[in-house]
Amino acid sequence: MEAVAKLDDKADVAAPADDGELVRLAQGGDQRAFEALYHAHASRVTSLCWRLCGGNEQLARELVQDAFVRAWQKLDTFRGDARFSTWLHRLTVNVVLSDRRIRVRKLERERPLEELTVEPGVHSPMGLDRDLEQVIARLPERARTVLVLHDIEGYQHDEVAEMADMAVGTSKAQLHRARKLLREWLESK
Amino acid sequence: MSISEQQLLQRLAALPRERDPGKDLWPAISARLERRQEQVAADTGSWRWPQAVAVALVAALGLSVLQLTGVSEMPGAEPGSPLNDSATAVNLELSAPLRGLKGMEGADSELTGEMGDAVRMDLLVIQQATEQVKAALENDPESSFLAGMLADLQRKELSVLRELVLLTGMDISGFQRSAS
Repeated sequence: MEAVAKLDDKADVAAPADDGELVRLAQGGDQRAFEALYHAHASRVTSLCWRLCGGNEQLARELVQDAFVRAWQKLDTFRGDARFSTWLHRLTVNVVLSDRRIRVRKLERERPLEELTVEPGVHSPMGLDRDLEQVIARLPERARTVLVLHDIEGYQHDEVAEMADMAVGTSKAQLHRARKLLREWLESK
Repeated sequence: MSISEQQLLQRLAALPRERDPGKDLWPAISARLERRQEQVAADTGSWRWPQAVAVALVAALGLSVLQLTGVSEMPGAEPGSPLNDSATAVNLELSAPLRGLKGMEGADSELTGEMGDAVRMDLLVIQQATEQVKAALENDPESSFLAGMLADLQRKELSVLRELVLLTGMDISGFQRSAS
């Protein structure tokens, strides 16, 4: 079943209308313009990082910083073909997933693979549906990534597969698994 | 309580898509941007560029001397010897993976900070030396000594690019399949 949660304009909720001028100024080296972009987009980027890293508040803040530093460095590659928010959120997903790969590789070096388990983040969910936020955070990382990107952020499977470095079929299977686990856990609450 | 998939999707759709970071992260971001700009300025103006130029000059000078003195073969190797063939084979063997790794657009720009600058500088120095050796090889295509130098440089470049792939977590599975 296709997600009813899919959003047509996935990254552009509450995006300010004057991003274009701020982006142009920031591309010219104006840090105050970039600061304005940060303040306009910080809460959306924070939400994305926080969910993707399983509700780990501290890690999410670090990743938000990383994402904006990376955005500043790559700002000259933004050509305005898509909205700035779309570009920024895609870059943020890449930063989060890249950071995860580095952490996993570090863990693999430090302990045998069979001992690797997903460590749940520090849960401090906000919003109205605390139960749902908590069970999303409990999902295995790959399943959570696909669910967050597809069902909450509104990306298509081919986009999710590309960003998360997996086959489209794997993305679909992980989404099925994630939804099944969520339903089981929510029903048992 | 039984929950249908439709109900689950509706709850997911209703989740808030904004979250207060809890504190203003801009001062920390701004400090990192400042540090990076200072770093880039320092790197550009300090020892790295003179070092790169010096390495290129030494390579060029060394090659000129070799050409003037007529040393064109790998030391100890006769023309057409297995040593010459071996150097040529190594060059051919390395050029395909190098092309594949170089073809990964923006790999070095994925790596940021001091490490990124250092990797980019390493690549620049190696590539400059490689150009010098290639130019010399055009004048003396039979030289196994130059072919050996080229192979060494390509090995170094391959090593740096592989390290870059590991550091950036880029996917090279497609490349590995095509190179094998």
